[in-house]
Amino acid sequence: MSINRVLNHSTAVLPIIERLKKEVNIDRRYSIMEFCGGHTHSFVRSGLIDLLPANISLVHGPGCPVCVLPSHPVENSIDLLQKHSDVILYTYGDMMRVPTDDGDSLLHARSRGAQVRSLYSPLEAVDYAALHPEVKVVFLAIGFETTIPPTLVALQRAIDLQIGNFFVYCNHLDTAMALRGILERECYNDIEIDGFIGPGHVSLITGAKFFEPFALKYRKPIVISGFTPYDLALSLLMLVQQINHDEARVDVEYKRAVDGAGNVKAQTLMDRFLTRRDSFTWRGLGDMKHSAFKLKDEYAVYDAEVVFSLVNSKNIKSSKGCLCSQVLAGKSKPTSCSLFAGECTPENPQGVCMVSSEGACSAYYLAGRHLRLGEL
Amino acid sequence: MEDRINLNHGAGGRAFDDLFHEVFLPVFDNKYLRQMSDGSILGQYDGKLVLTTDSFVVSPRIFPGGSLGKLAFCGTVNDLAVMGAKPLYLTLGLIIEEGFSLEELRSHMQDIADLCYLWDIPVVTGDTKVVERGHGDGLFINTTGLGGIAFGQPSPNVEKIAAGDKIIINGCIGNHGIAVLSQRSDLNLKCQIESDCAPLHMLATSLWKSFPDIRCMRDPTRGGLASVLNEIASCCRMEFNIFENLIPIEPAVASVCELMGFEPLQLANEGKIVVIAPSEQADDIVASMKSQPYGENSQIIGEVCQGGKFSMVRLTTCLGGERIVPWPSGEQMPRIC
Repeated sequence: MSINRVLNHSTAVLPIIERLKKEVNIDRRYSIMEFCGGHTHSFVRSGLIDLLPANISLVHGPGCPVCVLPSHPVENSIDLLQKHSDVILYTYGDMMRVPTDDGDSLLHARSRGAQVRSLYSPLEAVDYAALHPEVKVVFLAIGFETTIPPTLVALQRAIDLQIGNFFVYCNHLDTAMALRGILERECYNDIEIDGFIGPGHVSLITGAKFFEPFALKYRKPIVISGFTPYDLALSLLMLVQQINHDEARVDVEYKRAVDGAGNVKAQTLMDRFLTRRDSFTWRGLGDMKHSAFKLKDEYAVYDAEVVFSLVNSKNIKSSKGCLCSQVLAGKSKPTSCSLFAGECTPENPQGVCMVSSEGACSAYYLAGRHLRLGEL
Repeated sequence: MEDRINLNHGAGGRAFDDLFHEVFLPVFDNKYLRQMSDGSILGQYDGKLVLTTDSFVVSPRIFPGGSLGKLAFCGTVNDLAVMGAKPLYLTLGLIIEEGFSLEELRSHMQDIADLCYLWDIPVVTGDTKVVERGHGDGLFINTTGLGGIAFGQPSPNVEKIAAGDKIIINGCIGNHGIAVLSQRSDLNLKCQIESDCAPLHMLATSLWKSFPDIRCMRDPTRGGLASVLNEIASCCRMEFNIFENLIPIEPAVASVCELMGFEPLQLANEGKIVVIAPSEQADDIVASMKSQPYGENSQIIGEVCQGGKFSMVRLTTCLGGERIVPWPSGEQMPRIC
């Protein structure tokens, strides 16, 4: 058995690409945004990106939660750890290397003795808190709807078990508001986008119907896609067909996982625990109204932001020369950045798009696109 | 004797003597250790000597298909084997954390000793240090291996690598990496993937003997195939092209990679060799490998191309696209999105 059969369904993909080539109208361009960083990676890693018809251009979207997060959650976390020696901070591994504006990171803080741990499930943090009442366990929670339910299940467990030393530092983001921001041209304002490859994992939670108002109001087709090259090629074909017929529906290519209603239990948890922030500053996309979540006031005793008086900042600085903001706004390709693959590598990231495995710079670097002739 | 290691065991007095006689000597018993000297005087060898050393800190220490002890034997023996050397002697250095279970220590020592006995490669000297609780992670093992290349026998030479040479691997990639990861409780992965951890010196020795024109062999351990191929390519300043659809991988390993967002080419292996050999011998080499233990799934996975502006490893994807296989960087993290 080879990688071929298991991961890529290649015998199925190439005929789809042939159909796509026949379907595209050679007299026009198709500008398609893949919202999700996981999709960007799959396009690049499989080589699918090089097999597409020349008049389809991909705009790499902001669906990388680590990348679009501003610096202050990490800065606040480091500050918190320095001021409170009894705090243990848990977060996802991806966050460990995210550089602050001053070049610090949670990994650096850990090497200075701060108690920072990476986890795979937030329940680990609750379990630790239950066993160690003498410490304060803070979970730095990030991500779109995909990672929100695990945070809330952990919070639910802490409440059920009356664990008073577990706190959530909620930096969860709202896909809908990001999409609205893009469609309202609050960002990406100089790029005309003809259609969207919708996020597969987020849609598991929200359901496909969630995206219908956007397709209708803004007249843009959205196809919710899985993550294999087959899924992506088929999603592109479905999008091009809609665009050619001047249609704007939400279609689901990822039918084996996504339905119309989504995960109702998860949605109920979100309604119970979360409310929208008035505004949140995204890296690359700027200030967007109601675009992030926080815990409702009645859960303030579990809210690290309230308990430790953490303040969100609106300032976003970047390393000198770093084009992350432009990359996130679809205005630059990673290979256009002068730091890319030189000063900025996954071991020593200067910008967030190189940190996360979902980031466009990381996708390009890991596929060695900086080494390709013509892209130097 | 107590059932846990304490600081006295590392202090060199009576407690260590008890440990040596009750744990180490019974399992490793040989004429060198019985002398109980500061070192061992070894026999003569008619050839060139090869020396290698490696430290093993794997966590968890027991995983499907292997253990820290087995790894400490195989890792060093395989390093000698790919150099074309016959493994002759091992040394064993232990750093043990205070409070470590004596039963588990015995089990790892038994794993090493069983392989030493089976392959007649004695542990000729060793060292034990005990660190305070909290200053180590249970047990760290260092093994140093001394091997020999008889006069007139071939040894690797990356300078001989030429355009057209074939790149061969002896089986499926990534099993060790996933087997170890699957045991981490925080990942909660329930799969039946076993580590490929195995001693490869018999396979390697037979290949060096039958095919002296083999350019080089490497074992793709940490950093996996991606790391080893980049290392060789940069040594010989050539471009390598490998083909995704030829690289053997178990479906379960591929599935875990897809689920967690891991790159299989970067996963560690502990029972694999990459062989670079002249094109005209490649099929015979693969046939020979397939007929031997640990070589059943051998496969040509790529070829050496003329050197370009950069030494690099290209991968032709299953779809016919192309990407560069970069040096692995940092630890692979499961994706969150």
